[in-house]
Amino acid sequence: MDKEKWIEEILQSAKAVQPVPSNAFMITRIEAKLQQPVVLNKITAAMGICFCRNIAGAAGNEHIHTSQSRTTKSGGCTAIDTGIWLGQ
Amino acid sequence: MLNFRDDPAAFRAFITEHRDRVFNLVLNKVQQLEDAEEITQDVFVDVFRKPDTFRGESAVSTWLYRIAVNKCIDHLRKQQSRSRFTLTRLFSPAEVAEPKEFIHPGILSENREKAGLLFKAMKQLPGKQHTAWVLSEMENMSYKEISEIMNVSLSSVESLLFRARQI
Repeated sequence: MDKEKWIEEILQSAKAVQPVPSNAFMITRIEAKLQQPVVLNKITAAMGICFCRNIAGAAGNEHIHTSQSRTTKSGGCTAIDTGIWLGQ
Repeated sequence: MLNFRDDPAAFRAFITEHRDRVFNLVLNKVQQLEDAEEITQDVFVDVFRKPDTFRGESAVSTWLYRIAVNKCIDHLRKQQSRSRFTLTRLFSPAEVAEPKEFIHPGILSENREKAGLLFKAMKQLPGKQHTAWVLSEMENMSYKEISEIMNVSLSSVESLLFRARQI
């Protein structure tokens, strides 16, 4: 098969991707998210916890998905002061 | 005005109407199933919380896809900066596994090899070209729709798609 035709077939394979149904529980999950307070997330983000999350995530600790657990586990202001939390 | 605060039933109907399209757009853009679900949920959370960002200048769907595309861009940006700061990469680069090849759940098995190559190639595309390509080739949107969603001119869309094809 010549190269151009082969490339064209690969490009055309994008059209052959079938739509995937979304999660059946999506509405419930969205409603659950809407119940969560926004203020706490905004405060922690403003304090630079996001940076800590990057570092901590890199250290292999996966249990840092909520802003609350991040603050608690990092021992209050320690993570904020140093900007580094190694997930101990 | 698109305000669902006093009408949960209308909000649920709105989600039901649009969720599959938004989910597929996000999935094609971020190429990760769990992240796509999470982002899709966040899109609808934004719709509920910030209805005033819809000014009625475009179709509701255009506004919705714009939110989705922006969320995907933010997500990919965060993902990039996260991998940049990976300590393990600094200390033991050999231990950092390469991301797994994305297998789109909507690909028929006979097309899997070609689609795998396509998704791999798509990862090389710069952000805007990638977005334009997904909207055009995978979501079958018109240039006009793409220009509205991406907030660029029609000629820019043409140019982005032309350059994407070169890669």
